Amino acid sequence: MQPLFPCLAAPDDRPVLTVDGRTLSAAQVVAAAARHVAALTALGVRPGDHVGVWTQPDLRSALALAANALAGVVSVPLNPRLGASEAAHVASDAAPRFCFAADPQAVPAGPLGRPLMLDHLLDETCPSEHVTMREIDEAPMLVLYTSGTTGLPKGAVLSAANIAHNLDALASAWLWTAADAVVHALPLFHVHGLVLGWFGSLRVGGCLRWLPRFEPASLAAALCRGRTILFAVPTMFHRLAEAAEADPAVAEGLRAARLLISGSAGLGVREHQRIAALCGRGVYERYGLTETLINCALPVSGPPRPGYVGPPLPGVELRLCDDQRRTIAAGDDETIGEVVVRGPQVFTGYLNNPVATAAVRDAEGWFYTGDLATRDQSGALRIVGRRATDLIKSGGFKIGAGEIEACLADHPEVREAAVIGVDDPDLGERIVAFVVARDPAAPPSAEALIQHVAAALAPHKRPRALHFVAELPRNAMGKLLKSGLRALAASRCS
Amino acid sequence: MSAKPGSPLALALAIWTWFELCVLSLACFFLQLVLAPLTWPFDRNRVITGSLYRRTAVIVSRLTPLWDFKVVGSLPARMGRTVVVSNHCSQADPFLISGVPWEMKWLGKASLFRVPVMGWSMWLAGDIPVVRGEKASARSAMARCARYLERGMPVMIFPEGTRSLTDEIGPFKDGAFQLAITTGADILPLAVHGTASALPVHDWRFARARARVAIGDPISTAGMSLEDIPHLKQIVREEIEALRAKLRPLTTM
Repeated sequence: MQPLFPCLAAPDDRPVLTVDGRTLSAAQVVAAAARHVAALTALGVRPGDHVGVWTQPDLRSALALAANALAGVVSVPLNPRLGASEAAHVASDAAPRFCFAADPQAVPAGPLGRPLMLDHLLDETCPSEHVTMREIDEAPMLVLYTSGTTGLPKGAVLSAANIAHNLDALASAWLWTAADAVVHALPLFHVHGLVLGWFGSLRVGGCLRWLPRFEPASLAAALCRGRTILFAVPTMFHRLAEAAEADPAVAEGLRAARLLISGSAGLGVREHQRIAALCGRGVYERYGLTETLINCALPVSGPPRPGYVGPPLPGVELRLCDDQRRTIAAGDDETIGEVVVRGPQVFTGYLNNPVATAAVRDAEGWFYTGDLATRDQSGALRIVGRRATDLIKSGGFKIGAGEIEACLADHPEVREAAVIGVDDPDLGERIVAFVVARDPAAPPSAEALIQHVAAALAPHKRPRALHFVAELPRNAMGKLLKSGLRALAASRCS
Repeated sequence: MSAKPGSPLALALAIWTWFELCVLSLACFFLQLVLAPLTWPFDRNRVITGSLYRRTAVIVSRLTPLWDFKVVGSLPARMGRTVVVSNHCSQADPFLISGVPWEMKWLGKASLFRVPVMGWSMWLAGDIPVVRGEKASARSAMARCARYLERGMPVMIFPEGTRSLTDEIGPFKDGAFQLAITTGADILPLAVHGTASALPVHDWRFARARARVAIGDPISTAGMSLEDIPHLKQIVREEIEALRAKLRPLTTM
């Protein structure tokens, strides 16, 4: 079998991780892992045991996650701001043997117990044990908790094989090699920052420059050294664009990067155009879930395509399905279907929850993402919303709420927008939009926004009612709560 | 060090440790004897003779290859009137805790002060003896502690009153907490881990140990009365347990 992280199997002096001005070589990462293995052995932790890591903004958080992977223990990355009830759920569900933290005192006392410090990783006087190189096996490597809009978070179990296959596919789509340095300011308790950013860099043998705190100027400075790839989420691109307009050094950083990659949510067309105008290059999007890792990515051999997340990655089987889980063959960029995927990247299952696993994955291994998309002739997908909340059946059409939301958000006077379908005796469902104006004191006229959608998309996709609100209802993780909007729509109508 | 317990190398290192301990203790004691009359008239807190004794303990621990002792953390940002408390698992604890970057006076059982040379040095260092089970002695020791605190000198107390021979931290006595509340002092928790193996009970031979002492954050007793002692004890115990837990990966051998 092949090692999971080949650059650590024969470690040399190449830099693999830079955090807060400190750079570690492959050999230093392996030495840190060897000390971690000794500590785990002394604590009685065996391969396969669950070990929590509070992902504080510290070099040692990243090191601990890599060291756990090498040691064969299953990491449960923990959000440093995890609420008490979620911590209690993780404690009983994943039951980590121990939790580690770079700064244990900063972790609030709670059901996950008192964290152990990570000083041994960088303390050369600590004992070490031989590290057997982790291979691409089917054993669990990570439990990542997904925030649902309803119910308790579920722990998605990802194996080393899931991760390695997906990273290899991404490396081919992005021509990602050991010569690349990834720059990101993402947290390490999600797929994006941890699996793609950190494990991806280790897999290809490149370097990760992690900025634990997002700050446009330092991010831009990190992009200017060498051949770099930026991983960021849309809100970061938005703030980078704003900073670049004021500070030419930030624009210079965006220009210097070999690749700009956006994920975790859709990047608005207006933001695409703004960044292209600022730095003369486009942003490539990709699409994935915690449970399936990355399913689609625009290959960088072609041009970026605003609004499109690209075709399925090599090795990923992808279908669009209707409500009865029947395959939709259309490639007209118009027909909406649920994205269904199969392949080596699809997770092992939800921890301790076979019922939830069976609900999303059928006997043949197809995973139902709940995301709605259209597909064009080239096979590239456009994500238009969530099946549970975003498919509006109005006047005989199936309309994705996400498409209308993105269109409204592209209007210069709109900060953000959410769209729902409300029961209508005539249309079946009626499109109702909720808009947060950029300047709440002087919002644009509702009619102008409705016309904007009718002109940009199609008349049948225009909202029939549009309400201005101060903010959109969200859960603790920042996810939009459409149920709250339904209640609001009911009260506005009566 | 790869010295296996019971091996000739381990024996030689244990003997070396006793040797350097005796030599340095003697040197410290005589230096203190010279310094005491010269410094005490203007050094009421006996900082000079005290610090000399702590430094000696740290050098003793550094000179033996058997021990790897370090302090984790630094001088707290707020260090006013302070009662320092720590869990206690070995007679080697003072060698480890002496490494903290401030001078403080230790409350110790009176019999320790009668140990030749080292016990006399404790007296010269300004430490405070207390006779176990004697109320009058306890009262006068606490009064001395209070005087040190009033003069800005921290006092160090093992609230368990004795070593814990298991992994559990034993019950806390009231003294340290009563002292802090009545004098309005902060409690500064320390936690030691890893010293248990340094000098096994009922054995004269020093043995290998990797030990760390962690410095916590000061806990204010402002507004507390003697009725709050059980609550304060609980807060301090939890803090010490948290500090001790975090040290575990560092003290493995």
